Parts: sequence; C-alpha cells; structure tokens
Amino acid sequence: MKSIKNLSTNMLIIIAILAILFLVPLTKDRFLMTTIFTISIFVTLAEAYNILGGYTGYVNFGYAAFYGLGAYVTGIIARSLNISPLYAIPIATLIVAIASALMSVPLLRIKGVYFAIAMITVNYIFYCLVILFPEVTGAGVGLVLPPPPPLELFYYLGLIIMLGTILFVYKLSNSKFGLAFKSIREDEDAAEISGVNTTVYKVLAFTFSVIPAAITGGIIASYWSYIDPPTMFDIGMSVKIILMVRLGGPGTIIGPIMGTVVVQLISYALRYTLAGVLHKVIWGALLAAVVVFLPNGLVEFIKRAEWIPEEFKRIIA
Amino acid sequence: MKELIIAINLIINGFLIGNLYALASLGLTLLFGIMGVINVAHLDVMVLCSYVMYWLTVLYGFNPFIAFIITVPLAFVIGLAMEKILVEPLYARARGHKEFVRMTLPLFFGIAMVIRHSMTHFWTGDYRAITTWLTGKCIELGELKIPILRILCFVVSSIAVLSLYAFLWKTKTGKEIRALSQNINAAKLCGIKVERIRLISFAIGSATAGIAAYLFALIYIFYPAAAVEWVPLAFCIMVTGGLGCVEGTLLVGIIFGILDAFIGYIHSLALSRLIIFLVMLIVLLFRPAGILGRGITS
Repeated sequence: MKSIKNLSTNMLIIIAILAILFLVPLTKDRFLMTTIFTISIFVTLAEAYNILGGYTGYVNFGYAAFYGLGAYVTGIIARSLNISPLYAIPIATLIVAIASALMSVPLLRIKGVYFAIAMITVNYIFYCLVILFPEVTGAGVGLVLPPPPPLELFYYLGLIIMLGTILFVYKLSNSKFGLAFKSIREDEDAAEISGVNTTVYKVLAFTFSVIPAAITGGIIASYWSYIDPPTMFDIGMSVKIILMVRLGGPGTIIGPIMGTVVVQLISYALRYTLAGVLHKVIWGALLAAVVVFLPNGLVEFIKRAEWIPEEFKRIIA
Repeated sequence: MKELIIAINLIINGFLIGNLYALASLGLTLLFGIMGVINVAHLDVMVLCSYVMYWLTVLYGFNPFIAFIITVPLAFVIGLAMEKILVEPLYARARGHKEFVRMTLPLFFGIAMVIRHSMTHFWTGDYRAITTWLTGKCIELGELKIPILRILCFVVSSIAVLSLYAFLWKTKTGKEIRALSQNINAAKLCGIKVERIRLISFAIGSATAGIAAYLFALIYIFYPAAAVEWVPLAFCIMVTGGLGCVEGTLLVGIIFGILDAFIGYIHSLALSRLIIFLVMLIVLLFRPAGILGRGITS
C-alpha cells in the first residue's frame, strides 16, 4: 500500500514538473527557454552516455565525437539535398547509428582505460577527416546551414527528445538488456561464461548510447545554423558530460539529470559572476573534486547521508 | 636530385623534431607505466613552464638558454605537489588498482582545465614566442639546411632520455621504481617504501615536462591551450611506444616526427595525424603493450 502511495507522489511530482516545463513558452522569456533547452540537450546527452558509461562501465571520452558526427552528417545532408536540417536528422541518425555499430566492434575489444584513450583518438580522427575533405565539410571554415526555425519549436523538440531518452534508458535498465549491461560492468569474463553474448550487448550499448547524441547533434546544428570542427569535436564537451554523469551518479536514472542540472546551474551562476574564463577554472577544480571526494555521485551520497529525511530519499530512489 | 635533397632535409628535420615529440610524451609514458596515472595535465605543465621561461626572458632579461635551471625544478615541485594533494588521496579512496587508473583520467582532465584556463585568465590567450639569437639560424651543409634549435632539441632530449635510462636501470631508486611498476604488493613485501617511490617517480615524470618546455618554448609558438594539440599526439606516442618503455617512446616519437614532416610536406598535417591515430588504434587492438613494450597491459 505504502509503495503505491509513494509511487503516486512521485508521479505527481513528475507530472507537475512536466506541466511547468511545457507551459514555459507561454512566458515568452527567451532566456528561460534557451536555458531549459540547453539543459534538456545536456540531460539527453548525459542520460544516453550513461548507457555505455554508467550501466556498461565503458568510460567513453570521445562521446561528443558522435554528437559532432550527427551534426556534420545532418548538415551535409541538409546542404546537399537543400532541405531544412531538421528533416535531415532521421537519416543522419540512421547513418551515424550504423557507422558507430560497425566501428564499435573493434573498438570495444579494447578494455578499461585503453578504451578511454582509444575514444579520445576517435574524436580526433573525426576532426582530421572533417579537415581533410573541405569540399564536403567546409573544413576549418565550418558549415553554414539555413536559418533556424523559431525557438519554441526547438524548446519542445529538446523536451521531447529528453523525455524520450530518459524513458528509453529507464525501460532499458529494467529489461534484460540492462541486466546484461550491468553484468558486463561488474565482470565481463564472468558475464561471458554465464552465457551473456558480451560482444553483441556491448555493441548494442554503444549504439543505443550514440543514437541520442546524433539526434541532439542534428538539433544543435540546426539551432546554431553553423557548425565548425573545434566546437563539434571538442574533448571538453565529452569531459563536461562525464562530469555531469559522475557528479549525479553513473548507472542511475536520476543521477545524470541531477548532475546536469547542478553543473548547468553552477556554470550559469559562475559565468555571470566571474569575469572571463575563471568559471572554467572552477569547473575543472569541481571535476577533480568530484572524482576524489564523490566517486559514486550525488545519488549515492544522498542515500548514505543521515541528515537527509527518508521521504526525500525515497523520491530520489 | 632536388626531390632527393628535399627528402633528406625532411627526414633530418623530422628526426630532430621527433626527439621533442618523444620528450614531451616521456613523462606521460613513465607515469602511466609506473603508477597507472594518466597525467593529462602533463602537457599543460609543459606549457606553464614555457610561460615561466617567457616571463623570465621578457620581464627580467633572463638568458633563455639557462632557463632550464628554473623550469625543471619548477616542474619537479609541481609534480611533488600534484602527487601529495591529488594522487595519494585518490589512491587511498579507490577500491583496487583498476578503479584508481580509471579515475585518474577525469581527475587530471580537471587539473588540466584548471591550469589551462588559469593561464588564459592571467596571461590572456595571445600567442607568445621566445626569440633568441639562434632563432631561424641554420647550419648549411651544401644544399641541406638544419635549424640549430632542432639540433639542440636532439642533444637535450638524448641527454634526458639517456640519463633517465641510466637512473631507471643503474640506481637503487630506479630499481625500486621498476619493481613498483611490475607489482605493487610484491614491492611492498620487499620493503620498498611505496609512497616515497610514487612521490619520486611522479616528480621525475613531471620534471621531464620542464625539460620539454625548454625546447618547446624555444621552437614553437605557444598559447595557454597549446597542450590541446599535443595531448592526442602524446597519447599516441605513449600507447604505440609501450607504457613505461623509454626506448619505445623515443623510437616512436622519432618515427612520428618523420611522418609528420613527410606527409605534412606532401599533403597536410591533418593527414599525417590521421595516420598516426589509426596506427595507434591498430597497435591498441593487436599489440596493447606497444611495439617495444614488455607486456604491462592492465
């Protein structure tokens, strides 16, 4: 009885938050809308990163490369077919998904920290490829796309993608896929012996985690209507996503959401109070501090802390 | 005939600059090989030392050629501080060596950001270069032109690599460091003070950044985010050469230097870097210990 009651309070909270989020455009406040749009993009990325980085335990330092790849494929298709980038996103996502599934087969043979290094390299390989084909990609000059549709459209698009991803990861983590992913994280050899086809599940985890990145890449390309290699293939972006997931708690649903909101809010607060690049200094220090002092993230911290009321803990969990 | 001379010139120049590549990656390789620390901030320490050299030269009229008596101890001290403040607490907290290794990467990415953006904050993002009376001077052997600073590069990195090699293989501390890289528990059982050795090896690894900075500042133009361009290359040299393998690092650094010079001349630097990255991925897949590595793979 009690669990049903709790579930309903949780549901009520979620529905209330969603209602507020969907009504925000009525205020016509562009700053608020842009902020929430950015947060929803990052929640999508963090939550999708979580599939491979959190549940499966493969730390992917080149995650943003697939976001950049999504943006570039979207941009190239949109330009060559002369359509709005938004229509090019589905095809681009399909292409990126297939490409990443093929790539992941050899890449996922590399284990542990070497996988992280390999993914950093993959990021730079994409970068070099973009530079090497200036006729298609515009190289260092970048790619100019048609002007973007109104902000409200992006706002709802971001929200829908975010909700879809969260729901997808939630369903995934409670399915047999999620179980297989977690078993790979805990002990890959043991999982293999127990009859889990680790190669297939790892490739699936990789592809599932890349697809939302490709979609958000396409949305961002369309939103900015300009893409260039340094911003799209930025290791700093991957590090930011990793910080969000680590801060919140890898391998949980609520963790990446919490991490993203906290990081984004801190980042906004710092950007408006500190001059120049100082906010990035604090940000780096925050990442280092999270790794040393909060290795399992906020979710674990809240569960362990005694001063936080039980009711609140139940809502989080 | 002209092509031949160009080719020889490219090989010589690539060979000489490859020494700097190797020197810049040496600290990274050592720290990963010995302690399992991936010090992404290593190259940012290098850039920081370059800035120190620059300010000493510009503000205080210091001779840049003897600046290494300041930059090398500085990098050494930075290494000591990093080990004491960051690595030891992490080591105490991590459950097992594997998790420790995994956590060092984000940790040092954070530290790299702190160093990089502090430099931008204090000294702006302007490009800096140290010009000395040797800048742009060449030794001419008939048609061949060899920049003197690149020869310096070869000399300094040879001395650094040889002395490091001698230190690791001939001294007692060096032996202890190698023991630590093979098996921590066995090293502890043999009475090696593990904390002390970790501290020393981290500081020495970091000090190589000071030596690399000496050459880097004299040869290249630098800016606070200069390390961003060098990190992927250094990673490639580290992995391809083999972790903790000094001679492998030197060899691969030189090969990559020649590759950069050649393909950079024929096509573009982007193509040469692409080839280097692909080489690294192939090495990771088929020979994770590196081409000369002795089999430290996890």
